[in-house]
Amino acid sequence: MSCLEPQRRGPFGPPAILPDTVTLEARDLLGLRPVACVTEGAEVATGALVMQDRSRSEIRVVAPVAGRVERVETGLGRRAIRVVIRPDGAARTAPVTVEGDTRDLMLAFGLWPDLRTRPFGRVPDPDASPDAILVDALSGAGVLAAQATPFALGHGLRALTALTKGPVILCQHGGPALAPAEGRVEIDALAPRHDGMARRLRRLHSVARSGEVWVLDVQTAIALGRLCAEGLFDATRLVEIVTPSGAAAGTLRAPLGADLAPVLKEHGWTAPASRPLRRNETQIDPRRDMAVPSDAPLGPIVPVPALAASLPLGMRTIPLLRALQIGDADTARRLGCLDLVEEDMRAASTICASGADYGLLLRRVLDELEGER
Amino acid sequence: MRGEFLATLRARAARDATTLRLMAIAPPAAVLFLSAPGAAWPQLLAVVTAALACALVFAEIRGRGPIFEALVPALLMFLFAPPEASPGQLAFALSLALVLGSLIFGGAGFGFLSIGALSLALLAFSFPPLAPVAPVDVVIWAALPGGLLVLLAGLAPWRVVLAGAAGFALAAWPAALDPGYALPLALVLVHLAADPFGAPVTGPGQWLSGLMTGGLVSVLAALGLPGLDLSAGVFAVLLANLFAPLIDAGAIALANWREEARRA
Repeated sequence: MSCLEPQRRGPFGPPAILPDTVTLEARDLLGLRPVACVTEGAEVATGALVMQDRSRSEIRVVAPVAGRVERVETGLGRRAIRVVIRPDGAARTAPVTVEGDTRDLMLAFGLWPDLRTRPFGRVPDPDASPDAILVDALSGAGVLAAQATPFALGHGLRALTALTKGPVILCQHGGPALAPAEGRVEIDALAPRHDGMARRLRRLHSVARSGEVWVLDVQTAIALGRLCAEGLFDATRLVEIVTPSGAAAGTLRAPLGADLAPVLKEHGWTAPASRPLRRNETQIDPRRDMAVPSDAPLGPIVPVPALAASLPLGMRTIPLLRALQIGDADTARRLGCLDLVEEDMRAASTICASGADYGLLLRRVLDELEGER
Repeated sequence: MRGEFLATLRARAARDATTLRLMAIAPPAAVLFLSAPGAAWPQLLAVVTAALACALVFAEIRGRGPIFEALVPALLMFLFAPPEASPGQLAFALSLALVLGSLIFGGAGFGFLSIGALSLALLAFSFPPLAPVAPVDVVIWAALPGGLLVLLAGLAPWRVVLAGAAGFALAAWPAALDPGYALPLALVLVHLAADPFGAPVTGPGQWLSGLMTGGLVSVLAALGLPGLDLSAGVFAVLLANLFAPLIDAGAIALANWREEARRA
């Protein structure tokens, strides 16, 4: 069934920046073994195939901009590490021929790798079907994008219902609904204190015991909606830049993989030579990039309320952090770690005095639990 | 503004735990010292030297610090130790408590006992007449702002303190209840029972542990003493500390069982 709907074209936010380079990183494709499908020097059009998964070739990464492939970095066994494209011009939406159902469209236009499974935080199997899909509209950039394009968002959410027999839940802050709740599309609007997808997941559809839920950024749902409703392929995303003082410096539109180092320098950061916009990234806070894992032995966990509140309500945070520190996967599973992925542990890593990178420790435990399945 | 300060204090509490705890205990220790400097300085010097020496030796062996966290039990011992205890006795009991209760596990936060309570218990065991005593009222009043600070920062679980008071009131009601017990009991509950590393970490566990501590203080107290029996307080805290991991495990198992039942 096609998800084509009557068209509605219109202006959509600020124009996209013209980056020097666009870098597509293989490390954003969790659980995949990508291989490059282009060679250095080749010309690519917007939406052209750039990488694909070795074993499931239908999972594709496409070029967000038209340009020339400047560099293809590969590792052991021809495994792609990154593909760098030098754009011909600014990223713009491209009219495309839309054929097939939602699954086919997401796979064909490279939107599938934006999906993340819970548990384990992987790119889902193209043949799988989750119990529910949660759409993340909690970030400032995501809310702005959703407010600018309610029509496309509504289409995107309706299209996503084809992937699951369960609900498609748009998670937003309180206030007016960003999209209409109809059919299996539901809106979950709570006050900001219930922030974070882990909290929403835990409350709406926990996967700690069983089941699988997919999580998707609202801007991918909008891109899907534009594809379905307007026949336009849009690989740009709104992203919020944070200043060194921690304040939001504003939002800009950039194609996926765009090098944002010059923009960061404008805002007072000592940016590295290159800082590409990563998949599903809605906020650039270079302080997170600067955190280097330390080899120093871990200190004690000081059990304070701020640390206990860093994970979703109902989770036994301190026992879970202790289990993660010692790598006790079984206890961590019993304490609900399957509801979590690395980014949910950021607050705990910041508050805890032990110096542990709980995202890294959680990944080790999740990998072990995934291997046992 | 006030809310922002509190939020910052609570967010930084874990990283600044040693500083905040020392800030809480330093004023009463200073008042105690100044009330009789001539008699107090050998005791203070003994506990501080013993604590830093033990921590320094283990830090050298392990190749990592910090060492100043050992000053927290040192000052607690200085506050509660009987005046007749010699500096050598205090240093011995504190060194033993630090090594057995904390340093062999990796330092503060890796053990499961309140080192302040353990050092006072070891002092009483090793030198039988030397039971811990409650400081005079002026010292306890000086400890109240610090107690409030660690409670607000979350370094002393408020549930343990509240449940401890309730447990004591319930167990002592009505014959053995005396308003004069309130201040020494508050001091024991905040600085010994609500030790961040000795108390349970689950909410229900903290309630249960507090009730147990408060109840045991009343039950274990010797009859006929003029004030609160601090020995009972110290042993009640140690007993509650020993049960804390079990209480936490029980609270987690019960919560899991309730969640399973709700899902079913």
